[in-house]
Amino acid sequence: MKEMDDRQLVQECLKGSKNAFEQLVDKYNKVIFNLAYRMTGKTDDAEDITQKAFIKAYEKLESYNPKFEFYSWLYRIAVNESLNFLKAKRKYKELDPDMITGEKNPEECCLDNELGLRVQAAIMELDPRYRILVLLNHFQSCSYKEISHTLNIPEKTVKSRLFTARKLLKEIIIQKETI
Amino acid sequence: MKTKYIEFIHKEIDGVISPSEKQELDAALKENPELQQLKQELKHTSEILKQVSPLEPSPNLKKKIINAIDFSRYSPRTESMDWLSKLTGWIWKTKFRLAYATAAGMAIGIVLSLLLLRSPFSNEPIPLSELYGTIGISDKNYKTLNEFTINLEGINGLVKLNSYRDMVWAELKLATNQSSEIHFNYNERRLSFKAWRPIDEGKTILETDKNLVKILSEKQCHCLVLFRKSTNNFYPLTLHIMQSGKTVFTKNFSEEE
Repeated sequence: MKEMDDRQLVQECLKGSKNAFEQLVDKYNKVIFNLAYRMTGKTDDAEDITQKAFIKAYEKLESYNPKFEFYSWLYRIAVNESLNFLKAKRKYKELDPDMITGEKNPEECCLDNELGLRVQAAIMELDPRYRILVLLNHFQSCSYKEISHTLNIPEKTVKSRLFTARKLLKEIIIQKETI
Repeated sequence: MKTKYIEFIHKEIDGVISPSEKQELDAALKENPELQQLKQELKHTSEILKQVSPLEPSPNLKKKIINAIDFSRYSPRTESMDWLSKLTGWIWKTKFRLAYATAAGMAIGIVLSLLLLRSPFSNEPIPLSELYGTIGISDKNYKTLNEFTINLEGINGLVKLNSYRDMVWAELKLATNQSSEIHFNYNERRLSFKAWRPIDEGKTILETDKNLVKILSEKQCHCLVLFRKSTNNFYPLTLHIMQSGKTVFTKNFSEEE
C-alpha cells in the first residue's frame, strides 16, 4: 500500500479514520517527546506533554492549514504545551519549593547518557524563550523560516534570539565547565 | 568586535552564509584573534549539541495517546458531508438543475430546522472541549448537579457533577497521600462512558469495564470523566475511592440532591 503523506493522513483523520491518526502519532511521538523532554528535563513530564499535544492536535485538526507543514503545526502545539507546563510549574514552585525537586529518577539517568545529561543541564539554565530556539534549530534541524512559523515570530527575531541563545549556552558550557 | 561578523559566524554554523559573507568573515578572522576564539567556541557548542542522541519514549506512549482521544469527533459529520456531496454531484449532472436545486434547498432547510429544534437526547456529539471551562456556557441546559468537597485523612479535594444537554461529566480535583483507585459505577442502559480527560500534570491511568470506569491515580488527580445520557434519569451513579484495596470514600449520586 502506498504510504500517505501528512496532509493526506490529516484528510483521512477528518473523514473519521482512527488509523490515519495512529500513523501520525507513530511518526511524530518520538520527536515531540524529545522536544518536550529537552524543554522540561523530565521524561514523565515530557510524556504528559506529548499526550496533551496530540490530543489538542486531534481536536484542532480542522484548523490545520495544509499550506504549511504538518510537523511545524504540531511543533507549535507542543511548544505551547511545554511553555504552559513550565509556567504552571513555576507557579507551583513558588507556592512550595519542596514539592518539585527537579532531580532525575534512575530510569531517566539510564535513558540519557552522560553527555546528554550534561548538555540537558546546560540547556535547562537557559530561559525557556531562548531554550526553545536552541531545541528547534539544533535538535529538530528547523530553518529560520520554519522556526518563525512554529513560534509565530518574525524571522529577524528568530535570528537575534537564536544567536543570543547560542551565545548564552556557550557561556554556560564554558564558564561553569558543564561539559 | 563587529556585530556583523558575529552574525556571519552564526550563519556559517547554520549553513546559510553566502559566499561573499564567507569571504568577508574569513578576512576578518585572519586579523582578529578574539573573533577566531568566538567562532571556535560557538562551533564547539554546536558540535556538542550534535553529539546528543535522541531519547526513546516508553513503549506504551502511543497506546496512552490513542486511548485518550475521542475518535467519534469527526466521523458523524463527515458521513453527512459525503452524503451531501453525492447528492449535489448528482443534481448538477442533470438538465433539471433549477428544480433539483430548489428541492435540495428545501431539504437543507428542513434538516436545519430539525437541527435547531433537536431533542436534548439527539445523537449529535457535543465538542468535548466545550465542556471543560464552561464559563462561556450561559444556556439553561448547563447545570451543576452536585458539588462537594472531600476532607478526609489522606484525601482532600473537590468533586463536581455537571450536565449539558445529553452529556454528564464528573470533574475530580483530588490530592491523596498515596496512590488511589477511583471508581465510577453506572447503569449501562442509562449512561454510556464517552471520554476521559486528564487535565493536570498528575499521573493518572484509565481502565474501563462493563458498568465501571476506573482511574488509577498517584497523589494528584485532576480529570474529567464524561458520559452520555440515554434517559433523563441517568442514576444510579456511584463514586468509590479506594486505597490499598479498601474503600475509603463512597458517594451515591441521586436525583433528589
